[in-house]
Amino acid sequence: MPILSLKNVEFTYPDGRKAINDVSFDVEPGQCIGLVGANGAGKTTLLLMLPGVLLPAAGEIRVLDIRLDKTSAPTIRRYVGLVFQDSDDQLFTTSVYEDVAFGPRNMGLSAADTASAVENALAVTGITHLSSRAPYRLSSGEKRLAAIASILSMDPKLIIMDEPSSSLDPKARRKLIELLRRMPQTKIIASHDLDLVWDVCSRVIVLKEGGVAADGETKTILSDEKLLDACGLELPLRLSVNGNSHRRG
Amino acid sequence: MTYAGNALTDIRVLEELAAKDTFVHRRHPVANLLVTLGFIVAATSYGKYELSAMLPLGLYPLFVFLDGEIPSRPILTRMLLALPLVLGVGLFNPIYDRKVIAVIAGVAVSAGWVSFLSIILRCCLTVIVALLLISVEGIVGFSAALRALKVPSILVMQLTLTFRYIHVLGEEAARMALAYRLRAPGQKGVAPRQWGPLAGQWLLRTLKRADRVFQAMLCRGYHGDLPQVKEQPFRLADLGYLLAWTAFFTTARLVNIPQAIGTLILGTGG
Repeated sequence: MPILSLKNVEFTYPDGRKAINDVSFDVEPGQCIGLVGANGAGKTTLLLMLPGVLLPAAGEIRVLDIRLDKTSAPTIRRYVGLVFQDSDDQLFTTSVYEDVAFGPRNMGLSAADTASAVENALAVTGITHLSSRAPYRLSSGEKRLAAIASILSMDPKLIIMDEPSSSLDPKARRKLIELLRRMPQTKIIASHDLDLVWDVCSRVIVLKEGGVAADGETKTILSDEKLLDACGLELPLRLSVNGNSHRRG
Repeated sequence: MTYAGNALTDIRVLEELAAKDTFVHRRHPVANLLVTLGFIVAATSYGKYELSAMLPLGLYPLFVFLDGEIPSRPILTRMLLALPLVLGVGLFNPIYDRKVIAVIAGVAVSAGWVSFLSIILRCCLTVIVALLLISVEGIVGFSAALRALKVPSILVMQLTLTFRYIHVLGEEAARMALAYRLRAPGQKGVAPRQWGPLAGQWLLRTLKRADRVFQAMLCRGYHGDLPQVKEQPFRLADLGYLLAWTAFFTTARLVNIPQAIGTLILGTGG
């Protein structure tokens, strides 16, 4: 049974702009999927639909075979964790610990279970030493790890991330890639950072004007310069550098 | 940093102080809230000429400052913000109430001056104590205390989210002010013709940001009710703390302690 299934999903914003158009795909447990596309392709809108923040205007989304609608959305959010593009949107309490504990407490976990979930999430992300720090005093990289910890503490089955490597320096980015590789959960990562997608994801879905332009194995898709170009994307840096030097040579 | 940025940092500093682990911080939020309310009731119930009788109340904020390791600067600077209002209220007392009620070192002291100082003192004390409550409990502990006292959850939630919204407003204001200043070198403040567009943008950006924060809360299981954070039982020590301070406030209210001490030392009646 797929962990996530989308069938002919559509979404239109109140201003009439169609952001998602007839999107269908399945995600199997344990997969790590890269969601790529040019600006305005519909990546963020699609991500917001998966935990039911936005509901489809047509079509069907199923998470663990539960059909997503207004009633089931709170249940589905127990299984789907969304890491926002801007960590400041996600971290709003007075300490990292409180932020990581926000989800478990909302799930009704006891104090002991909440503490255990928080400690585990902080340990996995390697930020136990930051637990008492105020989130707004952290660096971008630390904030991103705290935001991921705030999702991990809820023990989600599916983790979705919106531009996880944006505003990270190279060291923080590398740390993030290592963390993503270690995380066993099913993941969907929307990113412009195609090198990160190359390193972490085994499958890539390319969005173009709200629809799926391609869906397949990462290296095949991300090496297809023609396809990427048609979708407003460029080859990953590692390929374009090699390609250029090859051409020059 | 911009004024908006400074103001935001001040609010956050008060909240960060709540993370300390001292005797006062360990008290149940309800105990701290009730002691604060008791203090405010006592302070505001003094007669307008009872200046010296009120002074012993200062022991409570002094205790919280010292035991809670609360730095005085952020509290006192915020307290000063309330002073102009109080000065405006009490300013006319010395003018209209000129009855002489005491002569100190040959100087006649009018009832108006005493009541003026009394208003300032009670204002300073109550504002300081309210700020100390936030410094000890934070908005989370304060909300937990209200919930424990059966204040309707919708009101507590409104209060908590309003407090959070101040942060969002402040952050957006700080960003916009910085962006404006960097592109308006040498200009003092914001040009009047830009006030409208800036205020509009500020509101729109804040709404958008608040929407994203709300979405993030939804994704982490928020369902219209913030979970209790300070899950601690109301212990005997909390009851003792509450009763001790209540007894002190009651005594200070009923007995003019400075006068009683003076009488004791000087050995004269009345």
